[in-house]
Amino acid sequence: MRLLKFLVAIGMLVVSLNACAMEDIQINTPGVKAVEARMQARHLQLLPYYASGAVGLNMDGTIVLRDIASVPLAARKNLNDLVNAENRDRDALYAEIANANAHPEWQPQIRKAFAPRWIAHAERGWWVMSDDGWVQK
Amino acid sequence: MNKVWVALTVFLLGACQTVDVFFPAESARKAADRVIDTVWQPVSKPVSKEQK
Repeated sequence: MRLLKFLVAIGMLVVSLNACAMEDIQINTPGVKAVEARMQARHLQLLPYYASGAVGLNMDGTIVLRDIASVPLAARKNLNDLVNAENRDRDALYAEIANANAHPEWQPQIRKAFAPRWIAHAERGWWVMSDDGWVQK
Repeated sequence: MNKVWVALTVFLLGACQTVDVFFPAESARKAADRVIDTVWQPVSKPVSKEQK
């Protein structure tokens, strides 16, 4: 009887540990998809600036206006707004994913998981921040 | 003995909800790849070629 209880306790322990260790990160929620759609649309506008180096990818999962001088005066305000909107949406994205997984406190880890992946997915010629400063992929 | 196990189970269950010991980092990385593919891939490839 004691052995049985012991085994049940062990079983419960294993199940409970698995329950939180084996969790898959869920991204198929309306909230996440809404942010994705906004970012997808904005990406078309940002693309030439990634290619020209006016905008670079930071190491913290955000984007940075790194060479405003290369942008025509008339386009600067628009680009500045684009970068700010993109960074707001990236924050929203990390928060939405954390919320979608019922762990709002995971937002910093989600951001940390995303940061190197943005850089890894960046196309050749884009500027990305590294420990040694800006480098061109 | 039994009480100890129950207490331990409760403690660990509570711990993994409050502390991030069990943040699924690998799954998060894969989720990041999927999201970035969605946000960048379909439009970025053809457009970047057109612009060159």
